[in-house]
Amino acid sequence: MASDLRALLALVALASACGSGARERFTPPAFADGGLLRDAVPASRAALAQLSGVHGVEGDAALLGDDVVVRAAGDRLSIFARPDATYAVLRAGCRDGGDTFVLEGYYRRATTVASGLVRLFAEPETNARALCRGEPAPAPIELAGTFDDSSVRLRLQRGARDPSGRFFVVAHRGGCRTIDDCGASENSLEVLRLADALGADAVEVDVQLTSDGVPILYHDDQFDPRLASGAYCRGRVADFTMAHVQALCRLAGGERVPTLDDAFRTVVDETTLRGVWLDVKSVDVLGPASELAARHWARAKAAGRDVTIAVGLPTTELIDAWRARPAPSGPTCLAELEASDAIDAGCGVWAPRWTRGLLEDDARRVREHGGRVAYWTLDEEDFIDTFLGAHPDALLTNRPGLVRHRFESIGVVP
Amino acid sequence: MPSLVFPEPAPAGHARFGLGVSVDVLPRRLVESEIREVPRMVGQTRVGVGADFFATARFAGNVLSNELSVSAGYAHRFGPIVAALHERVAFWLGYLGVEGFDTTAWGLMTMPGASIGAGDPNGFRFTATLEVFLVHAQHVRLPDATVERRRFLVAGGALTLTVEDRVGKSSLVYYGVTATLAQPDYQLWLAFSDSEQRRVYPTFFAGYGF
Amino acid sequence: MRAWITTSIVSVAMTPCVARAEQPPFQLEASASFGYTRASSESFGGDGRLAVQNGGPSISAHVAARLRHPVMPFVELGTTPVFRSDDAADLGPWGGTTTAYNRLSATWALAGPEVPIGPLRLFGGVGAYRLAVRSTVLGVTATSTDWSFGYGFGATVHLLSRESFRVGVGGRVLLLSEAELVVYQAALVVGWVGPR
Repeated sequence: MASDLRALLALVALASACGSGARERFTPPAFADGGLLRDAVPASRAALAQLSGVHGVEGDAALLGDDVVVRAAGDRLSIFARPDATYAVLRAGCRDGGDTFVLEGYYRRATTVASGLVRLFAEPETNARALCRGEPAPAPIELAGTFDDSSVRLRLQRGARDPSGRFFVVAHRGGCRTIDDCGASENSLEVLRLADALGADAVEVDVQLTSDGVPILYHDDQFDPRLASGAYCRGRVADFTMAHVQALCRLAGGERVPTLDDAFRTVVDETTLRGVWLDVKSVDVLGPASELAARHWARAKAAGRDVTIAVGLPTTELIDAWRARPAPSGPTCLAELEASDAIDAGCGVWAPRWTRGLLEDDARRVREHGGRVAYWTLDEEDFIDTFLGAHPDALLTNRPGLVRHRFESIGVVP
Repeated sequence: MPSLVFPEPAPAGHARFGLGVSVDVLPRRLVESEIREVPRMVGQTRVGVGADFFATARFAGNVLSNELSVSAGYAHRFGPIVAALHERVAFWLGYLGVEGFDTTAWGLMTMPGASIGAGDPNGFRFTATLEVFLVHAQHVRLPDATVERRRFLVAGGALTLTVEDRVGKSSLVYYGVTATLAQPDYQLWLAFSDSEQRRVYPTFFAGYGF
Repeated sequence: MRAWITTSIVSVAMTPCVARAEQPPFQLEASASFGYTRASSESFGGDGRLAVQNGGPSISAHVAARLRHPVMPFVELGTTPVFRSDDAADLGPWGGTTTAYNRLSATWALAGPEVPIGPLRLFGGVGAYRLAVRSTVLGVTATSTDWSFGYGFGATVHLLSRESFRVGVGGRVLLLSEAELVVYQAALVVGWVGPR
């Protein structure tokens, strides 16, 4: 009877479209024994930078396509491929007295959520030794190895199209959405630390306000099992103090709900991200969020970090509230409605929803007034390619690796 | 008179019309657009063609999300059980996002399926229907750009349980539930922005046949 | 919103059964259930709970239309505490370790078909659930509510029948799908059957 009842409950729960109940969350695979990097000296960032660019692929085209984009982000190296929006996150190290340059990590197919292990070696050996010494590689860069059991060889064809970083790939929800299951919950400190490895130059985060006025990162205005866990973590965000949020709620992956202050600190101190788009959810949030944005913009500048912070204004109420306040020093605003809103409010960015089309005439007007243009939210390759044809300054996406690959293939530097 | 859904063979020219309402139950707040929470009006008809063949036409829409389909099928009685095979061709049209209804999408699908039914001709009749969704083309028209996909895609399927009950001399009421397993590309507004790789969701419906 | 639409559609779907006007009789069956509920252990973990009360007394009102159909439409309203606990809470930089005093209750509306089989009633339907949370942390009490779509299934056995009154026992399983909660109930049922 108990098993029958459980089967019935499971069937009904399945049909209920709740989805995320007891599903196991993705944990990035790792080599069981720590892999070859266990005994390796971590590679320098200069060495990783030499590997960055567009690589031709020899091997299973169904796995990685004809070419991949390799990008260094901090002490990690990422590979972005077109089929199934596949990406790999690797770390590098030197072994055998500096004769072997090895990269190990995991790959994940974003559209099918399959994953596996990656191990690559820099070839030829002269390149490996040079990379380990931090010197320029003498021969054309090649990386050879395996994605699970499939052999691949990557040959560097050219450097990145946009070395100065004028085009921004903006990752949605801090890096990836909870339902995308990339290894961290959306709007968490953990996903912010992962975002640049996922292909992002910047992140968009959602900001709500607790009842005691603390800005936190959370998308919905209600806590529920879709994004948060906790038996009593239910109800409106604005009904709970920060102490209640810390006591009752964790994000779906078990992470703490972060404050906006901690999020800024993480972006500036622990990542290579160059931008933050604050999706301000209500007028009450605008003041505290803007003050934090100004403070951390100044802190980043003092630390030599160029971090663009844009305060999103998705409604006319927020646009009016922004214009009624003295503009914070440093951060700019990002208007999501009409181009005239961006121009009249002096916003640095105009970001219309993609369903409104390319709006090229409006985009031209915004640029004539010194602003930049972004579109949101684009995940499908067909739509990404269409909008890259409008030469945007940024695209907001749930698939930053795919956008990066498409930009390298067909994009034009703004 | 034939039933509306029950897959019994019907004499040529005999027709039944039905009017009802259906609503999808998608996870709340998972989708950005509220259009998915608006019930759809459903109008349908089933006509006997002769020699145990039948044809149906169906429209389900709420202005924002609309589907028009026609199907042909063959039904046969096996003692107390009736069974049918059918193929439905569907055209759907809808709006993506609701700010100004700027962007429309349409798609072409075929849905081969089978039904099995049992019941009392003068009382309750139960029908189970299984359909597979095959998407053949999708088209999104932005105000100033067009994105087309002409690729074949198995986009999921649906299992429907329908109850029809005779009311009065010749009318009937029907109600039931559909469990749909849909890939994100089944309909573009399901794929829009916040969809998961694959989703199972129920649809509840009820209506009147005359 | 959608829970209410669905519950209403299911209710309306049931009531056309009443339209068989050429076949009276029509009879209402109403009952009140006084029971005790318990939430499933999967819904509430045990870690860090200093004092726990799972479930509590529940009350619900149930009305079904008895027809010469095998299926009766029903609607039901009910309420119950779901869970109550004192929990060790780690507030991190917001107050260190403390105790949180927490309470969760649910109110529901169900609608769907009911099947009478002699003294047995089997029913199941869709539901709109309203959850209420109350939590006290560091002396500050927060309250909030949330809605959840879900389902409910149950059965009642009438053990004693006297004219219009019936007494029996029953049980329910309430599936709050969106809230990822399962609540079980056992109840004493007091019913009344209207005239034909």
